[in-house]
Order: sequence, then structure tokens, then C-alpha cells
Amino acid sequence: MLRPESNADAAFRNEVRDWLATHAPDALRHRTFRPLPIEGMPWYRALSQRGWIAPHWPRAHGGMGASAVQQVILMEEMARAGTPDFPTQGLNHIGPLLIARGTPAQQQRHLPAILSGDAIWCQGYSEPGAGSDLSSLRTRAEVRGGPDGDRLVINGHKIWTTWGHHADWMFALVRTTTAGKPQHGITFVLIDMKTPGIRRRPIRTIAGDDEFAEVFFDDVVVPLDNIVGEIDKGWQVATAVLSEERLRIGSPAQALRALERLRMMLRATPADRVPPSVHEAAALVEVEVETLIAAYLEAAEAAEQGIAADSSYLKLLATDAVHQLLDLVQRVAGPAAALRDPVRRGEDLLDATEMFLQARRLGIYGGSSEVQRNIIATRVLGLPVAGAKS
Amino acid sequence: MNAEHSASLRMIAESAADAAASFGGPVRARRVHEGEPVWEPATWKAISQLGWLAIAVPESAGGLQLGAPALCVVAEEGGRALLAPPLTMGMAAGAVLAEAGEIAAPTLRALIEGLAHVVLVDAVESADANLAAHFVPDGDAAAHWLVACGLGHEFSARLLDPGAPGVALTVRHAVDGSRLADLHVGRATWTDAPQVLSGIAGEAVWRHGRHLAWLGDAAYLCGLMDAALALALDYLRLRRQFGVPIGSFQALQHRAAACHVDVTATRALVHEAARATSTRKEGWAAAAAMHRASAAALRVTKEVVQFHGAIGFADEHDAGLYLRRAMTIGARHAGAALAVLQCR
Repeated sequence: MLRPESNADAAFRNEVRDWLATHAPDALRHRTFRPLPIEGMPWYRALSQRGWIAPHWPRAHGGMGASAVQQVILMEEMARAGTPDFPTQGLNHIGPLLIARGTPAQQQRHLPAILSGDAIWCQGYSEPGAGSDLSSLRTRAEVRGGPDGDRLVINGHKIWTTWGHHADWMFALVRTTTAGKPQHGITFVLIDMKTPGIRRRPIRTIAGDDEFAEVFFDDVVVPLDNIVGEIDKGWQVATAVLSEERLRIGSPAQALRALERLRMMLRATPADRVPPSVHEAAALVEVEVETLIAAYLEAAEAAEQGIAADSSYLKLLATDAVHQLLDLVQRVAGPAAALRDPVRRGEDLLDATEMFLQARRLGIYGGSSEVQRNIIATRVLGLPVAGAKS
Repeated sequence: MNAEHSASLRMIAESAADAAASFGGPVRARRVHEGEPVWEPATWKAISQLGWLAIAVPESAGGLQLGAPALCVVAEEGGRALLAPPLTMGMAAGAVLAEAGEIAAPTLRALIEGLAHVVLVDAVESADANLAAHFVPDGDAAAHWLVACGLGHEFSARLLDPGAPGVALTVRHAVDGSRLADLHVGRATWTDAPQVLSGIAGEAVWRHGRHLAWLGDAAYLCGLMDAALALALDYLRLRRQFGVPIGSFQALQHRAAACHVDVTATRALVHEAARATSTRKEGWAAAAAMHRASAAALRVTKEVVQFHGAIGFADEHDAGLYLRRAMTIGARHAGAALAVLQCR
């Protein structure tokens, strides 16, 4: 971060660094993939008890209410210490969404469990036939009478559900009405994954981990209380905290992790085995990381002050920075660039392929880079929508 | 503090935008392209009356002491208007002259009162012990030259009158129509010239001036590429081929979006780098900002020409004004890329 730190911020950085040095478990450092819940959730709970699990949440809801600068300090120090990724659907998506749109009962039931790590969440948006064209989704939910009154009965199929096989809860978009515009008739619903009728199957990624899953619904009964917002109006709910979500998904956290990988690879490789052009590119790529941090600070501080700012470009910027960094890791690694398994050397991890392959997801999930560019072109730059009458 | 910081800068930006548009604009930039000088007394005087040339000068030296963030905001609006007068150089020269002691005080006054332009010049000693400097932007418009030579304890900066005997000036044209001066100074003239900065401390002042020039021109390029992209977006919405506006084609939409990412992100970096002045990161931050801004400005303005098709390639269209200006400003600070590699 280029921003000069206030005394309080500098003290916070030292506090974070010291605490991570003594508390972050060695076995979890520099993991590429999220540790399985049994391994990773104790660390999640430790951070939660320290009060640092939800820097971006308001204090009133149990978050840290951290400034943008403090958020970046946390990201930088966690990247340096090599602490692992968490399941983020609770902290970054449904948590802020319930804070904005949930009923008090929904907030009381779910927010504390997200903070404490008692509930892992997944996002049920994509379907086999509905990816970039999300509003064409077809998982059906019908309101039916039951012994205790009305409830939703869900049938269908979600896919590419990150951590769907580990999640306790899913927030999902389901179709309650088929007439009218595709965005109409979608309902936003919270589903307990222990409900009878749910089957899940993990899906292996090209990086070799089981990052996502497919989830099948067969007459899954969900109480109407689990609907967020109004029935048929879930699209508005899902997009209500879009700019907040764009901040999270475009944060510099992943780029800082990738930069750490590059530094470790450079430390381990004799300088004369790396072409000068690669050394040069490795120095210049730090400009891209600082650019991303500057862009994040600008957007997050605008949000803090309630000023409308464009955050739709952050994900593209972040994805590009991570990809540049990991391309460079490959170039520095030389002949080791083909090695499947990372090598531990002292405290460092030499990984040429794991994060490189994992990072392919960045341009795909949460709205592919192509969809992001469509959105910028038509909604930010005001270019005409293809096929529209003009 | 952040809210205050951004609110006061927004106010400066708003007033700067109006003023820059009145002194600049594509029509004026075209006149420079066609041979008119970038500097003329009335505009320079008017610019000085806004306080811009004193923006990075301490209050104790008669300046506004608004710092690098304000300097960048003003320069950005200058770039948006394709402002031709050498504003960034003037602002940086003011900051350096303010630290250059009593001998330099009249020169500083002449600058901030809008009576004269002052350029900062890095010279090298040639084999015959004379001094030479090349490609000095708008050097022919300057009444005073502050010329630096040497490193560390050997560093020395002296005030030179470009019309004095023993000083030879030759002028070439830059691609945007502005002028680049080559300077040759005889040994005797150099040693007779008043020394206003010297040694390690003087070199630090000089470096700070260079950083301000990088930040200012980086911000200028942010404004420039934003304006160039706006021009292209208007065209993409208006121009029809195959029965539809060409801006509805995804191939062009995605490239316009990429330009938008480039412009917005570079701007964020430049303004963040400006906040790092007077910290140990000042040099790297300013170099990084300049390096990224010149690269991004070239990427964006080349795309802007391409978005326009044949008319963009025609000299009569403004797209070329933006590209040629971006080329000129970027070339001026080619050393920034090297500094990114060296100073972290």
C-alpha cells in the first residue's frame, strides 16, 4: 500500500502481524486451496474470536467496521503470513445481503452463525442451462399447502456451487413464476442443506481440488419464512448489494497472495537462471498490484462516504493482476514450471502450477470477464445493447 | 480526514475543469499542431492568477501549499482539456525554486506571478567539459533555465539565462507540434552562473521536483485519456454500420470496457501515489504512476483512433491530437520506467 499510514493504522498492522505470527497454524500456511472444514474452521473461529473475521461488516451486526485502509492492512498481512482462504459466501454475500434486506428474525438467526463459523454457506445461482444468462434459471419452487400452512417445494438442479458439498445453508434463486420477463418470477430463498430431498456431488476442478459441487433438489420443502424479500422479486434482492459484492470480489486479497507466491519463487531461484526480461517484468508487476490496491481504496472509501462510485471494473482489474503475477511465477520457475505438487522450502512454498490453475476460476465465477465487460459497456459507458431497437 | 481530503479536492477539480477548458480545448491544441507556440504571455498570466503555478509552493514562499494531490487534480483537468501551456513543469519548477534560496527568489516570483516560464533541466557533462541537455520540453518558451548536473556531493543546480552568451539553443518539433529544445552550455558560462542548489540536500530537492513532474504529467495523461475515450464513446453510439450503432458490437464494447478499466485504475494509482509524497515511498510511487499512465495513455489513445476508423486516421479529426499529445508527454518521462526498477 502506498498510502502513508497513520499511527493508529501502523499500530494495527503491527498488532495483526504479531498475532498472525503466533496464532496462524503452520500447517495451514500457504495453502492454495481452502482447507476442509475440519482443518480450516478452527482457524476461522480463532479469527472470529479475535474480532477480525468480518472487517467490512458494520459493528452493529458484529463486524469490525474497519476502514478501507485497515481492510487492506489485514489482506497484506494475511498474504504475507500465508493464511488460507475461507469459505466466503457467508461473509461476503449472504451476510451483507441479509444486513441490507433480511428480516430481523433472519438476521438474528443467520448472522451470528456466519460470524462464529457455525454455518457454512453456499450460493445456489448457476444451473446447467443458466450460467451467464442467469435469469433463464429453471429450478422450480411452488407454494403448496402443508399441515402447518403454506411452504415452498423446490425441484431442480444447481451446479458450480462453490463448497456446495460442505455447506450447511444455501442461498438460492428459484423460479416461482414462469410468465413475463425472465427476471420476474424469481424468488430468493434460504435453504437448510439438511432438508430431505437434497443430493450433492462434488466436482473436481482442473486444479485438482473439489472446489465446487452440483446440488439436486427433489421435493425439498422450505418454510415461507426463508424467503428474503418478496416472492417473485428475488432478482431485486440478489442485485441489492451488488456494488458491495463487487468490492469484495475485486479486492486485492488474491493478488497479494499471488504476489507472495512470486516472491517465494524468486527467492528460491538463482538470479542468473532467470532471464533479465523476467526480472524486469516481476518488478513492474508490482505497479499492477499497487494500482489494484489504489483502485480498491478509492471504491471502498467512496462507499464508506456514500458516494456513488464505479466498482464494476475492479473484478476485471483484480483478475488481470492475479493472472499476470501467476504467469510470471511460471516464467521464473523455468523447468519446474511443469511440477504438479508444490515444494516446501523452509517457510516458503514453491508452487508453479496449483495457484496458476486455480486462478483460471477468477475470470469465470461471479460473472465471467466477458459478462463484466458487457456490463461496463452498456451500463457504465452507455453503449447500445446488441439487438436492441434503436 | 478522507472525506475532507476528497471533498476539498473535488472543489479544486471543479473550478480547474472550467478554467482549463477556457485555456485549452482541442481547437487550441490543433493550433499548436499547426505551429503556434504553446506558451503565450496572456494565458500564462491568467493561469498564474488561479494560483496553479504556486500550488506546490509553501505559504512561507508566497505559495498555496496545497501539495501533490491538488497539483494532480489541476493537472488532470489540464489533460482533459489538452492544455498546451507547460503547466506541470511550471508547478514543479515552483516547488524547486521555493527551496532554492534567496538567489532564486526573483525567479520564483516571476514564475508564480505569471511573468515567465521556468524549466527544470537535467544536463550531462560532455567530453569537452561543456554541458548538454536534450529534448527539453517547451524549453524555448522559458525565460529561465534551472539546470542540474552531477550526482551526490557533486550535484549542482544553476540558474541560466538561455539568451546569455555561451548558451546555444536549438529547437526541434515534437510530434504534437510543441517544441523540444537542445541546450549547450560552455564550461565558463556554467561556472559563472549562480548556483542555487548543491550537494546531497540540493539533490533531494531536485528529486522531489522530478517526482512532482511525474505525478503532474501522469495526472495530465489520466485526464487526456478520459477525454479521448469520451470522444470515442460518442462516436461508437452515433456511427451506424450494418444498420446499427457500431457501439452495439461486442468486439468493440469489450475493448471500450478494457479502456475504461485502464483509465479508471490508472487514475486511482496516480491520486494514491500523490498522497505518498514526502514518505519514503515517494520516488517509487511517482515513477510507478508515470510509468503506468504513459503506457495506459498510449494504449487508450491508439484504441481511440482505431474506434474511429478512417476518420480517426485523418488529420482533421481530433483523435490524433490526443494520441500525439500522449506520445509527447510519455516520451518526456521515459526515465520513469527505469526508476520503477531501481528505486524499490
